[in-house]
Amino acid sequence: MRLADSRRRLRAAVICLALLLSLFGGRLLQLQGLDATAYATEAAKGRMTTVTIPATRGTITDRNGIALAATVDAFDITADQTLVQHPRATAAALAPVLRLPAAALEATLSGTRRFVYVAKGVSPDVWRRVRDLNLSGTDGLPGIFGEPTSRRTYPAGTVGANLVGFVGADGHGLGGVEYALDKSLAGTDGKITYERGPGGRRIPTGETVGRDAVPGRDVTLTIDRDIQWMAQQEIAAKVKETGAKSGTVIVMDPRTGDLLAVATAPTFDPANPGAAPEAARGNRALTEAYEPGSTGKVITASALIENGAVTPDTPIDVPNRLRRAGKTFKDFHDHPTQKLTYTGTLAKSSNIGTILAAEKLGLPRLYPYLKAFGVGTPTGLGLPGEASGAVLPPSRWSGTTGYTMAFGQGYSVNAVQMASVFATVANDGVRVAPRLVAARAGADGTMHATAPSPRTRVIRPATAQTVRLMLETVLGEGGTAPLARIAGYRVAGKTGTAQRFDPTCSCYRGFTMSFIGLAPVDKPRLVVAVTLQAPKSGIGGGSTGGPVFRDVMSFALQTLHIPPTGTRPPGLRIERN
Amino acid sequence: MSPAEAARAAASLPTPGPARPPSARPGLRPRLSVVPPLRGPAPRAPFVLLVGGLLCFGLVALLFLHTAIAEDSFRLHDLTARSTVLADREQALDQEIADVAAPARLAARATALGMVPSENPAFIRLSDGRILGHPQPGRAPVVKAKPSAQPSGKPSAAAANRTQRKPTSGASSTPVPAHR
Repeated sequence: MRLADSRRRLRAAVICLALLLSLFGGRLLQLQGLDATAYATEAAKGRMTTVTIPATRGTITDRNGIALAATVDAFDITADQTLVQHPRATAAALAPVLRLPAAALEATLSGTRRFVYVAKGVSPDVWRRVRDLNLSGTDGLPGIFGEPTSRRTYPAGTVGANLVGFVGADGHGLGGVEYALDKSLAGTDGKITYERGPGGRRIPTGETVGRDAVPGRDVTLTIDRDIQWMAQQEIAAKVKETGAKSGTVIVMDPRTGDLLAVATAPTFDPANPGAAPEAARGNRALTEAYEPGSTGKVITASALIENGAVTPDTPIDVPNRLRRAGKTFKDFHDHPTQKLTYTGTLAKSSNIGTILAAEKLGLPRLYPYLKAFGVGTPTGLGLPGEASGAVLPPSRWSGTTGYTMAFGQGYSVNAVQMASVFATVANDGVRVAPRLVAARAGADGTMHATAPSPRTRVIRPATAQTVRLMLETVLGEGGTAPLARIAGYRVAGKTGTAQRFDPTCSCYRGFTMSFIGLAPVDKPRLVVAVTLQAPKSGIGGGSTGGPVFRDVMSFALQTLHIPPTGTRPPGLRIERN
Repeated sequence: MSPAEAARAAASLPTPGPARPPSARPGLRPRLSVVPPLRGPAPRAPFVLLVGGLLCFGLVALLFLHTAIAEDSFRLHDLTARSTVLADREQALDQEIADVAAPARLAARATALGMVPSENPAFIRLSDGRILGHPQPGRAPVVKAKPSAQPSGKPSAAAANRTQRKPTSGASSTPVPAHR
C-alpha cells in the first residue's frame, strides 16, 4: 500500500511537472516564435531614437566669395510650462541672457501647456549660457529646453537684399535668388536612428541606421559686394533727396553680361522682411517696366547709322514744334529753330530732331532693332516677377506710335533690359545676355562656372563705335549731362526724362529720369544705368541721374582697377553755324 | 589478461633473441620480474588552473574591451561636444569679422578718421611711372547728397582731417607735386 502510494505520488508529480513544463514551453514558443517581432519592436522603440539631420542651406556669395546669405547653427528655446516651478524666478534669470522683458517671459512660462516657444533662433552661445543658468539648488532651469535648428543670416545686411531675397519661417526662399534657386539651395534633410542609453549617449555596439543629409548647394553671384553697396548708398540718397517713388542702379560688364550691381531703393532688411512693405522686397530693376524716354534714342541712332540713313554730321534743322499724325511734338525746352548735326540732336536730346532723322530710314524699320536689342524679351535671369516690357509690331501701331518710339516712348522696358541695350553698344554691337549666377556647386560641393551667356550680333562694330562717339558729346559742352563727367576718363552716356505712365490713374503723370553711360568710350569696360521713378524735384535725367552715375562709375572703375585709356575724343560737331 | 599470462608476457618481453611461441616449449616456465608500477591518475590542479586562468583572462579581456569601447564612446561624446563648442565659436568669430568688414562699417570708420571718397580715379603705370587719370586731392564731402543735420559734426570732422593729415604730410609731400 505504501509503495503503491508513493509510486502514484511520483506519477502525479511527473505529470504536474510535465504540464508545467509544456506550459512554459508553450509560452516560450508564443514569446519567441509568434509575438517575437512585436515585442522586439516595442523594446527597440524604448531604446531607439530617431533624429532628423537638417540639411544645411547653401551659401550665396558675391563674385569674390564674400557671403551674402549664409546659414548658421541656432537654437529655439522652448518651455514645458508644467515643469517650470517658479515662473517668476525663471523669467528673471532668463531675461538678461535672452534680452527679453522679464514680464513677458513670465507670462510665457506660466500655464499648463506642455510646449511653448520662449525664443527662436538664438545663437548657440546664448543657449549655452541659458543651459548654465540655475535656480538655487537645481541643475539648469527645470522645464526649459533647447532645440537645435538653423538660422539664415545675411552678413552684408541690406547689401544686395532685393537680389538675394529672403527666406520664410520654414527656411525656404520667398524672394530673389533664395526663391529662384530654392531647390538646389535647400538640400535634402537626412535622419538617423540609433540605440541610446538612459543618459542619451549612443550605445556603442547598438544598431544604427539612417541616411545622411544632402547639404544645399552654394551659389556664387556675379555681384561685387562693394560696388553693390556703393550703388545702393548713392541711389538711396538720391531717392531721398528728390522725393522719388523709387530708384535703381545697375552696373554691368558689357563683355560678359555679368551684373556687378543691381541696386534698388527703397530696400529692406532680409533678416526682418516683414517690417518692409511688399513693394520694397521685390527687385524693381526687373519687376518694374517703364517707358525709357530719351535713353531709347540710342536704339534709333544705332538703326540709323547701321543703315547709313544718317552720319554723325548729317545736318538737321530742328523747329520748336513739329506736327505729325495729328499731334504736335515738342522738345523738353522751348527753343528757336536750331541748326544741329545728327550728333547734336542726341547731345541736346531733341525729340523733333530724332523724329526728323528717323524718317530718313522709315519708322517701321526701327522695330526689328528694338527687338534685337532685347526690348520685350525676358532677360533670362530667372528671378521671380520679371516684367519683360512690351513693344508693338508696326502692324498694330496707331498714328503716333512710330514717332514716339523713335524717342523712347510708346514701348516699355525694365531697367536691366535698358542697361543691356547700352552694354550691346559698349560691346561693339554684340549683345551678351545679362547674367547673375557666376558659379554653382555640383553634387560634390565643388564650384562649376555657369555657361557664358549667349551672344548675338545686333549692329556692326563700326556702328557701335560711332554711336559711342556721338554719345560722348552728351557729357560735353552743350550736352545734357555735364554732371556725369569723370575727370581723366572718356565717358559716353544718354540722359532720359520720360513721361511716366502711372497705372493707378492709367494716365501719364510725373517723369522717369535716367542716365545710362559707359566708360571708357574707346575700350568700354563698364555700363552704369541710373533710373529714378517719379522724382518730385530735379529737372532731368542729367541733373538727377548724372551725379549718381559719376559716383558709382568712379567707384567701380577704382574697385576694378580700370585705368583711363589716355586718348582724346575726336570732337564731333553738334551745332552748325 | 590473467596474471599468469601477464607475467608470461612481461617475462618474454625483455628476452633478447628471436621470440618463440610459448607453446613451443611448454615445459619451460617463464622468468618472473617485477611489473613497473602503473602511473597514477594525472594531477587535476594544473588543468583546473589552466581553465580557470583562461576563463579569467577571457573575462578580463572582455572587460577591457568593453571598457575601451565605452571609454571611446565617452571620449567621442566629449570631443563632439568640444567640437560643437569650437564650431560655434568659429561661427561667432566669422560673424564678427563679417560685421566689422561690412562696407558700411568700413566707410563709417574711414569717415571717422577724416577720410573722404576719392572722386577721381587715377593710376600710376609701373612700367614707365606715368600717371593715368587726373588725380585731385580729396575734398570734404560738403556737396555730397547727405546734408549733415548737426553743424557741430562738421568742424570736428574737419579737425580730425587736419590732425590725421599732419603727421603724414611730411612723408607724402614729395609724391604729391609729382602728380601735377
